[in-house]
Amino acid sequence: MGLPARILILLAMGGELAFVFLRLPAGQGFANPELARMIVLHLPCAYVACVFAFGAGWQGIQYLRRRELLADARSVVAAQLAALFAFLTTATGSLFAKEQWGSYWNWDPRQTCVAALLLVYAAYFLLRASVDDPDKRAAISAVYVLFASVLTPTLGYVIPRFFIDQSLHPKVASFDAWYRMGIYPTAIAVLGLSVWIQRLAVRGERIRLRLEALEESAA
Amino acid sequence: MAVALRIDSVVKRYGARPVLKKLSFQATGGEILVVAGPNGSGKSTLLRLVAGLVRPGSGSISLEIDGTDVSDPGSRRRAVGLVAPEIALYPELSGRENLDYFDALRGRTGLPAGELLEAVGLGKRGGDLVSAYSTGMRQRLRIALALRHRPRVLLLDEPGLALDAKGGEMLRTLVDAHREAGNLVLVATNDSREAAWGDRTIVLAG
Amino acid sequence: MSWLAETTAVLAKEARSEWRTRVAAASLGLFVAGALALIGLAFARLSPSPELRLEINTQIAAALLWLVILFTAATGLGRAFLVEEERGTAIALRLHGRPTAVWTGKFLANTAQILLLSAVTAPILFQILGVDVRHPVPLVLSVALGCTGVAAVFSFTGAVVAQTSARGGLLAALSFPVLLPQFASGVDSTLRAIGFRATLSTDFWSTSGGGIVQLASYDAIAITAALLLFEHIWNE
Repeated sequence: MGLPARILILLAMGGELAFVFLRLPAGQGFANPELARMIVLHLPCAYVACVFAFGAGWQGIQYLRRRELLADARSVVAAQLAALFAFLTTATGSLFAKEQWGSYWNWDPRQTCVAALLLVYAAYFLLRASVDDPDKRAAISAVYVLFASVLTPTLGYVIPRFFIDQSLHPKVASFDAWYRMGIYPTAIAVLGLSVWIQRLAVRGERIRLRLEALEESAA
Repeated sequence: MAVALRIDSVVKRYGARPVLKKLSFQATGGEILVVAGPNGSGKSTLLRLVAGLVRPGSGSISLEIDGTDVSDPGSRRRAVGLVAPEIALYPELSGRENLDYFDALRGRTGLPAGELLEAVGLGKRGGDLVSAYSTGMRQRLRIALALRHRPRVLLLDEPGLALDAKGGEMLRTLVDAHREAGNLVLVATNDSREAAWGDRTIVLAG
Repeated sequence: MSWLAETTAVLAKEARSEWRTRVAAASLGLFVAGALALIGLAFARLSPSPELRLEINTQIAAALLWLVILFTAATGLGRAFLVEEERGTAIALRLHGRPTAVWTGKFLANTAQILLLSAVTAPILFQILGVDVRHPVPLVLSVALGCTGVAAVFSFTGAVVAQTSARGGLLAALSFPVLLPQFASGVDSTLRAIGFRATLSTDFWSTSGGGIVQLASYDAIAITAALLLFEHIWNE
């Protein structure tokens, strides 16, 4: 990633954080209006987690199609980032819930769905650790992440939307101009930051794979 | 030739250890090809590669039967017959039930079980549970299983290991008949008698 | 049509093997019996007042039923593929069988097992807890659909785990998170079928039909996903 892009991302992050803490007005209609600002961090984490969850699945499909270990490396990195941001989403969401409604956990459908996703990723990493052969490990990881990704978010989130009436999450989100200015650019900045991390990690994996290939052909 | 097998620069590793290093050869129907080499030289691996059970790290395997390309692993698996010591059969089923099960999985298109069991010397024991079979009998059943669907390519991995003298003769007869019918037979072996069956031999270095 | 015959062949063989060895049925049956005994013992101590006890029991009956079903499945349904790999019969299966037919046959065998166990467990459990079921047909439907989903997931994760060195250990870890939505729907539907969280009307379908649809959707998606993905781990 080029230097200008990196500087831009850092500036955007810094700018957004400054905006959130200094300029953004407090949220109306909440128990603790000041800390309602946390939504500006919560939502971007959720979006980015979704993007990387999708990415992990997509790279899994690429591995199964082409059987290249680089696709597997990309899938793992995406899974790690998805897990990280799912964790941050849960953490910020829980803190928000505690401040506004008095308890950290409410078994809200979306909340539980993200928690289930965290468990899925934990199982995913455990699964990888229990297979030695790189090709088999890649195939098994891809297959499991795809299977779980299809079932957990789709049915934990999409379908209950139609059937469950009470939820802490609003059915339709309405944000005023200030909050939109806070949330969407932050989402882009966080996405930029995470893509930066992803590219670094994948570059490391690519070097490792090339090193292994060199060692093998020398043997 | 109706059957054409082609191995091209195939490499296979288990972990970091290379087992097959850029192996290339060709074989056609109507011949018995012996694969010889010391333990660990990759004989079994080669047979499993041809059978489509494992993928090569690099290189290609192509198989053509009667003009149809059956190179993709799924088709290859259906086109070959494999006799290998690691193939276990269901002990709680009888010999005949085992044969019928795998035949049912192939759409019940195989040779009649009775004749096949006679041919491998299990004619009277077909109804007994495999748990009661000796090692030699299990090997005979494996041979029957491999031949039932009339494979154009027969792969034998150390086939004579468990067989007695009569069993060895039975196998030789079946293998020759298979070759005469225009099919390809690959025999991976360390046994000098079996090695003598071959029209050609390739040796894998350790 | 041949695919159907192949799948039936797998199912028939599973049934025959099971009948001859009776290992799975016996051990799972004992597991369920033990679990029910423990539950009866634990909940007998809950409250001296019969009305209060019934109130509590009705609220937890659905949750307990589904927990027993899940743990029974975790104990018994993973064996289908593991046993093939361990005994060495998987190689012949790979050579002769079509992957989707093999998976579907094993899945159906697992479904039959868990359905049978649930059919025995549910009435006994409700009897132990003293709970009356207001809508029996929806109850049967909920449990049947839920069990199908459970069987589908365990059949798939069982195939995945059979290829690893961890074998049985990881099965529950892989399966439970994926089953959360099905579990939630199952408990909810069962609760409504029992009559708790009841609607004032006696019509189950107008208010709670959505849960049944959810259970069925999960089954459809799980089975489809498994069928599409299975051959990538079955064959190298």
